[in-house]
Amino acid sequence: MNSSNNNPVYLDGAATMPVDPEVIKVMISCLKDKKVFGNPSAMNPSGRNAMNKIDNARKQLGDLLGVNANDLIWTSGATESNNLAIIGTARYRAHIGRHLITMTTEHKAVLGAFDSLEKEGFEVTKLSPNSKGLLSLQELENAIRDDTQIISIMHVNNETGVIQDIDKISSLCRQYGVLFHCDAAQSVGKIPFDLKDSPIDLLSVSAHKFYGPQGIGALYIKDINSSGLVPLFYGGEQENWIRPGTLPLHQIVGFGLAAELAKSRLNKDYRLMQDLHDYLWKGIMSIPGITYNGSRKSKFPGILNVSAPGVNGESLLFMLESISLAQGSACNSRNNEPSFVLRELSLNDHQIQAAIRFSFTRHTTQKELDIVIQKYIGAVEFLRKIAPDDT
Amino acid sequence: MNDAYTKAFNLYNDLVVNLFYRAAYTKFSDELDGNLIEFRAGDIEKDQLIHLKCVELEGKIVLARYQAYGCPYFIASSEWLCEQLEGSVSNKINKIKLQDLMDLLDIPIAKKSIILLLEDAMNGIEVQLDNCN
Repeated sequence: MNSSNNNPVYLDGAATMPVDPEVIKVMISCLKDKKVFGNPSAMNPSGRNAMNKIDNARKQLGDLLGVNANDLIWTSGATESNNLAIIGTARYRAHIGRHLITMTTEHKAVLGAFDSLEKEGFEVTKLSPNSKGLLSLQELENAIRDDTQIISIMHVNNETGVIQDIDKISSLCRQYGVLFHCDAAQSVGKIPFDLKDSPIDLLSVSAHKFYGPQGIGALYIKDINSSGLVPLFYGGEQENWIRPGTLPLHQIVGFGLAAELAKSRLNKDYRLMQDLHDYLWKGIMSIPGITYNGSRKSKFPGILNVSAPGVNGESLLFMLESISLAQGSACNSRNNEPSFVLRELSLNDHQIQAAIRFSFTRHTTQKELDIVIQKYIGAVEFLRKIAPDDT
Repeated sequence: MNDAYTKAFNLYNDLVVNLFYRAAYTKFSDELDGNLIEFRAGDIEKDQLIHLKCVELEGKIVLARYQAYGCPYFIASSEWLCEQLEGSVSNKINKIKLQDLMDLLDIPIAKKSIILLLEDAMNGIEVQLDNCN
């Protein structure tokens, strides 16, 4: 990508990644191929061919996660996976206990599911992170009660990139016999995963966060045949009766290939993210008063969230118009409410509304970042210069 | 700076973009003879703050400058206001029609507070200008 006005620098990879060209190719071929035209649930040759491709995609995703492919079910994306995991298991286990735990900095797809359960009479404990965005294991342990059924903690935060220690969290859950769900939409395909011996019970995945198509996701359910989960939808036997509906072949095949490609490029992509992150931060860290939002030690380097106080966020975005980036969470960016995630990190309103999230893709180049650094510094200087002295 | 990207998304019209980047009325000079009159309106907590500084000489505003914190509409409106104020005499200030800015800049109705705030600032300057005479 170049930085011309018609082709802006894209630094919003945490919102969605560009679909890999190989993924596009295989998806188009799926749509064109008359041999796989059939409904995957149909027993005719075309339907069986389609189902073979879906099984292959399931294996590709299973390989990426280090899990049995049969423990994966397809969904429309991480939002649905989160809802299904949290609401489905809470309802199934409601007769055992109605206490649930999550964090205040979770994605809205998780918080919304918990809010909905509260209306059904469940009790939800929402734990706040420390100022770096990290959850205290001790606080989590203190919050667990005899009637706690599910704990849901995200892996990589979508706004700050902060990584929670899900190995320790899931082990703690196992110790207390509590189900653990993890929203891994921002980490799968970007950070090495091996769930083979992990105590994680449920894990949400989204294809478009790692160069796959939008509109398709998955939910990993450990020991799917013995786990209990009440479906959100009814009317079909697909996906073990857990998620009925005709399977979208081309999206699933694209998802599978994206998973395979991600696995083969994981280390290389991660090193690139680290290099890009360090390069950009080094380029802007000299701006007076700039803050690095979130932990620097426990974080995914594909996301860099910073605040330069004294500038209005809307004007800042306007001046950075040729760069696709996010002010706050992308899903939240159409309203002007300050980011609740950054508020939980004890940032003040000025820091929050001036916060910018840069998130990289494997196509981002240092040459592009040179332009971003120049524009960002220039915009901050301009806005500070025209602002009243005491801002 | 009004590039194809902005136009494609129709975020701000050309006048907003031009006024925002022009910033011709932001550099204050205290070398001019005359009385300094200032007015501050708004609140940074509400994302809109303007500090108007004008120099009055013989009943006329010979210099109008602003410092502002806010969205692009607010910055552009502040620039426009100073352009109108400079050269004005006391009894002409109330002829500046800030309401027209809503149409000129295509300011969304949800941001009408920009106009109300600038009216406050303009009235504040007018009162002080009258006091100078």
